[in-house]
Amino acid sequence: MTSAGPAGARPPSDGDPGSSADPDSADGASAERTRLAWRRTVLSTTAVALLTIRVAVSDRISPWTALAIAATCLGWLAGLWLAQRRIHSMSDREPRNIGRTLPAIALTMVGFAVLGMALIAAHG
Amino acid sequence: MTDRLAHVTKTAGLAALSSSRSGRRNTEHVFAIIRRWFDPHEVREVGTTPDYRFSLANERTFLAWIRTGLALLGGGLAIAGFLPPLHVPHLREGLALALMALGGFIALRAIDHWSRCERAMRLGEPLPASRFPAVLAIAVTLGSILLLIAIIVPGPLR
Repeated sequence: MTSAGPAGARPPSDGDPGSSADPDSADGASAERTRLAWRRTVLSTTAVALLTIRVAVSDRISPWTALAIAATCLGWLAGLWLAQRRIHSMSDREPRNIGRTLPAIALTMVGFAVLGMALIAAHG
Repeated sequence: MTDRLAHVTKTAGLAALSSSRSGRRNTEHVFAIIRRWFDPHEVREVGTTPDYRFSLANERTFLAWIRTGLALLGGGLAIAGFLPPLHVPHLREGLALALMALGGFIALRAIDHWSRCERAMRLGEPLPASRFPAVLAIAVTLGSILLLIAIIVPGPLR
């Protein structure tokens, strides 16, 4: 549990403290931009997952194909879950509770890279 | 303490390649850096907490890098899945593998850069400078030129 940090936090310099839910205030815009960035990332992940499945089924179907598809779905779901959780926390007044979300996202992407490289190497 | 931190930050990512330092210190640096990626307290408790909007901006930069890496992954997969074999043997597979390796590396570099920026903001230090965007741009340009040459002059290379 990472709570809001110690007392060195500077209050937002503009807007009143309760205005973070207002998308027109600077705070709301910041949270909104971050939320949309997560959505775009999920969209990109979806495209990569679909391409991975396309590459996996382009060869002879084998138990490895099923394993690759299962891993791809798992990776996509992991990314989706992490993003949804983070998007929900964007409605907090000060969305600080990021924990290990970003390393988990990075590792999921590395997993996609390794899986795709294994598929391509197996085909070649 | 600050000097040591600055040193660790400076050698981040290159510690394993640096030949001027002893292997043990390199290993310690690498572990310190990797621990910082995964330990929220390491990044959350040093210094003072900055305005959370700065942290959100840092998070968006991380996500933009992740999408850059995903674009390279997608490009590699599209090459492997849709491109007919090129004249040069295994050039297609090699290109796809290179793009995907680069994509995976960008994801790791993104989390490293995020944690270093977060730490610098908390300690009131300047944000870490990085040559990586320039290196990436040059690598992509050179790769495109080489690929163009391979496509335009297929005969002698076959």
